[in-house]
Amino acid sequence: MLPARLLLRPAARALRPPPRARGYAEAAAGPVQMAFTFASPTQVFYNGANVKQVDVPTLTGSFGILAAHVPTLQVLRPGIVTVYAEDGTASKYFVSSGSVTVNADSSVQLLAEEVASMDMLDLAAAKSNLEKALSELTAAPDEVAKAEAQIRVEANEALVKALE
Amino acid sequence: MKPGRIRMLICIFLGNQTRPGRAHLVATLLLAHLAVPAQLLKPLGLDAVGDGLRAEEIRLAHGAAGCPAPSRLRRKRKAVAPEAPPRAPGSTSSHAQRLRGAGTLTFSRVAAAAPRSSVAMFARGAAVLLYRPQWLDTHGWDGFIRDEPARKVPSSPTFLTVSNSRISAISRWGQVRNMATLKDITRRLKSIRNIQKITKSMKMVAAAKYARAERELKPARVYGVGALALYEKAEIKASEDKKKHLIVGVSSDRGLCGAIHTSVAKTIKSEITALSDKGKEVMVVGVGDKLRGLLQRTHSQHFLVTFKEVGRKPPSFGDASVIALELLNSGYEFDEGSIIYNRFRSVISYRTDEKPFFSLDTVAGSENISIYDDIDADVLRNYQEYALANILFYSLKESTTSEQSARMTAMDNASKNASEMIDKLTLTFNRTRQAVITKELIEIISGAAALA
Repeated sequence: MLPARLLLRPAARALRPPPRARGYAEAAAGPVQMAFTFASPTQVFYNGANVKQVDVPTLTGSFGILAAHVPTLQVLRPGIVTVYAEDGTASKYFVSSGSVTVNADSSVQLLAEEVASMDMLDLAAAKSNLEKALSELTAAPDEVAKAEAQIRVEANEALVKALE
Repeated sequence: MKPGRIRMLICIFLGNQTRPGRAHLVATLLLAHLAVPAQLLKPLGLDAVGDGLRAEEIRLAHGAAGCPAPSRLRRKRKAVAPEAPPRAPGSTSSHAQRLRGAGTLTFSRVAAAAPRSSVAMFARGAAVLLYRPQWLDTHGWDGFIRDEPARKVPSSPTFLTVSNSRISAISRWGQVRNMATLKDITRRLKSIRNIQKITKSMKMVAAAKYARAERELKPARVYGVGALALYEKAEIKASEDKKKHLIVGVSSDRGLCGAIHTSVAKTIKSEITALSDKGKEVMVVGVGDKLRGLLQRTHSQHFLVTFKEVGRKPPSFGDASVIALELLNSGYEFDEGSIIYNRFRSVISYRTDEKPFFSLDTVAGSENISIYDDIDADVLRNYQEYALANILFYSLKESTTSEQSARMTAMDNASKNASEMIDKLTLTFNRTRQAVITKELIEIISGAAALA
């Protein structure tokens, strides 16, 4: 069933209401395959790959993205990204920050600033870094330094949590 | 018309001061020959032009080689006059054929006997062109002036005497050409060799940097395309009433890379004119000192900020985020912008490309953005800032790769040109060296002969 707006003539485009976001009760219409791109500035992990599900940690909370997810823009926070491939195998990556874009055609772009696979991380080093960051936070002289230390603390906390 | 009558005409024409020499006569005859069509020569009585010219030629053909004095020549001519073969007035073409068959360089003798005035030059040139065009092919204009074949390679000691007369002949004609000394040539050779070494090493360095840049470009391209996907898929466009535009030109600090900087600057210039015509306010950001140098004379009032120390090290995401932060904190509230950079296509080609980016308000106000669910202002602002850094990073990576490949090509061409010059100069050097040796030998020999 075609949405009514597609039947309007081009001249009436300016008058028609803006394209509606998909409501909760509506079923998804469109390709069911997800084109998943996961990259950092120096490395590409997935490029237009077909995966089943991706779990991302964002500033507003963690959520999982399946094919035909509602289009959305989100900003990542330090945490673990889990990618479930078509055959069910899960791969985990630790990301520091970045953004995730889910488009209407079910393509997902997950761009992270720093990505580390779990085997590159060391729990002991993470714990010592966390303590260092906490002490820096208490000793921070001004707002800017405090904010930077806060970021470091959050990242290290997430690291420790991910490794435990 | 007899030559005597023609002389009279020339005398009248040029005034009584000039005594019409042989050269004047020949020149007039030739002019008449050229000006009057062949069919009219006979009715006008000018068909003796060829005859007259040929008479001159035969008289002079028995003169000595070189540049004999006029009086000597006349005496000789009188002695051999009976040897002139019978000639009948005929068409000019048969004359021309007969003249062509007669001896070598005879027409050059026409002016050789006279003082070398411009008229003599003209007469000589016209005579050669008219009656001996193939002479030019073998001897060239140089040989025509010098009385010698231009491409003669010296293989005997006579080269020196000939070259001496060559030089003096030239100076009489008014041309000044100094033969380069051995020291000049050596100096030039040394400097060109140094330059070639430098350009070769620059090419090696650029090749190494290019290999690394291309390797790093592969993931950066995927990253950059992913970052631009939102703008393309959501078809975000700024509305026409948005006034403030920002142009970011991505280049570098260093030159010797072909047309990298100028292509970006040219695109920026045309963009500025196009946008100003539409009534928008444009500011330019230059990444790389070269852009500032190219644009500041004409568009200095459009410059917002320039970034230096670009191109020395490969660009990282940190550099891009520094640039993005500076743009956002600059105080210039742009509505939309575009990044102009050189997109890398292959080792030998790149294309100047333009990618758009938008401000927070433009994106928030775009109609297609409402498709995206669950977006609040904070998230969108973070997203936009990150996207700007991403686009800048992508353009920096592409730009560096194009620049290194262009520098490699440019230095390669320079090295090739330098080696060509070295080859030519080495030949000249050897020739000059042989000449110097020969000269010294002759001096010694003639000194010894004088003593003996």
